[in-house]
Amino acid sequence: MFGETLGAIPDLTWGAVAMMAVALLLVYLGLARKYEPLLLLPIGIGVLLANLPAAGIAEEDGFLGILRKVGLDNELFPLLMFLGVGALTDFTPLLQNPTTVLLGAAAQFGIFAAIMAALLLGWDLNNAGAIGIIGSADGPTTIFVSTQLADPDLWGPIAVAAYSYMALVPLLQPPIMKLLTTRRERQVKMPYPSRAASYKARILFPIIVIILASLVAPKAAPLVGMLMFGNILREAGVVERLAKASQNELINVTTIFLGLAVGSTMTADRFLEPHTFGIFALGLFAFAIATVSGVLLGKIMYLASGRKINPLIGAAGVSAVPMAARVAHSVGQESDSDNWLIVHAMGPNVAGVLGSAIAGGVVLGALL
Amino acid sequence: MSAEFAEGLRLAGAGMGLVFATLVALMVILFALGRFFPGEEAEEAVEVPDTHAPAAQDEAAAPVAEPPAPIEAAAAPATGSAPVPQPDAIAAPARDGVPGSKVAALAVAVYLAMEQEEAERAGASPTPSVAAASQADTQPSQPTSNWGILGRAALWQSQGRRPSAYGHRAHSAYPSSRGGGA
Repeated sequence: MFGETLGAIPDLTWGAVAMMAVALLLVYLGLARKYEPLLLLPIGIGVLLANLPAAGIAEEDGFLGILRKVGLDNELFPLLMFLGVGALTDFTPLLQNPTTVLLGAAAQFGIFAAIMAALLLGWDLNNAGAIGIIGSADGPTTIFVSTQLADPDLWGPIAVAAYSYMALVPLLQPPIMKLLTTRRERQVKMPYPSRAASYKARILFPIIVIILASLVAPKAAPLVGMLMFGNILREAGVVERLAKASQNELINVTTIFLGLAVGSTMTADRFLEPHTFGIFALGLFAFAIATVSGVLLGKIMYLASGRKINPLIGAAGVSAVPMAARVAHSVGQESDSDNWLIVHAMGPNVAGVLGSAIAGGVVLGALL
Repeated sequence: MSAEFAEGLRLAGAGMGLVFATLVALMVILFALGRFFPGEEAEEAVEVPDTHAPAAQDEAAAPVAEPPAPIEAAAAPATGSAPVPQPDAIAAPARDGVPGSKVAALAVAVYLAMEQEEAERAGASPTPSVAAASQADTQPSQPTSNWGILGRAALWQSQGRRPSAYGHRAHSAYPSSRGGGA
């Protein structure tokens, strides 16, 4: 009788209180610091709801449990997100300057370096693969791969680490970029492409990518297929309603559901473990290595091209779109305020999206 | 070396190899697409026939063909970003004879002014370095670039110009009564 009048207070545990604090921290980071608020706010509220004592919201028949079951356990939400991302992505910079696609490949080294580091720290291969994919700097890809490879306890920390570091790209990348490049290299002005991409090329490109990626990494086919389908909607010019729906309503609704579902996996018994800190540390390592490898290939291309390619755009190969390209641009402008790198950085940036999806497919293919 | 670590090494080697091979193949395909389906040449820079802003005119005559795209790229896949002028629309010359580069410069200037206003409205940014990064990104502090100078001049002419004093018209709409013409 007395217990009933106290409601859920007797069920409140220290773990639940700590998770509520984590939830509020995520909400704070999203709202006050503007760190990926579109994702961190729903994830934070998802964490809060999942840890309310005695409410059972995140249990199998609670509404967050149902969301998790219909959209996360079967990888539906990340794929719908990728459809929206494809509809928002302009591959024209890549079509105008195809050599920059290599920079998107180099930055994927962060994934594999983090896998090796995770193995050295004692993780098993499947979990190491899921943690390493944080280095892709691509939220949907990270969630798509981790929900298939990792233990369910790790889904939440991996997703939160990925989105947190993506939000921190403007803080993480510039010191590495400046350390690895000289002022003279950062001042290189790249020639602006003289030709626009034709309509036929913009339509054929996504179709060819779907076929190519599914041949090389069949497990990446769902991701690449949805990304490129979204891009075809954008470029077709005759299905504007579908393109706009993908760019707005679909991706926004999916973002809400995905955030809540990911947040609901972060309950006290799963999240408050030493492995969470390990995941965050490895995620940081993966981001750093991805940036280093992108910039280093950028330097090689700078030398090979007769000093015509600015190595800073290599850092945009991590696929945090468009943040990484903006960072490359702003670091370039610190050395020369008249240097407009963002057009050139968008090429490796969107190549990074493709590269990370393919790398995710390769990891899944090898480990599943 | 444990068997699992060795397997991880193989995965890393093969994985990077596959990613590179795929993207190299993609690069070749991109070159082929560009060759078989070439796009249109970008428009040449249009000289600004402007008598009001000599400094801007001198700067604008040279390499204006560059950067409308930063605006688009900055706004591209960031969900929920504000609508901004698209580069295609900026680059095309206006129908009424106003040079395309001038329209573009005006658009850039208005966009930068809007961003600055937005930043000021948002108040002090929580992280100075983030704020500095985004400001440096969007708002070149001095109009040292061609675009900056041209944009400021265009904005000044169109929006910020005060009306001339009575009887001091810079240009008469009518030919002179002495027959000299304008």
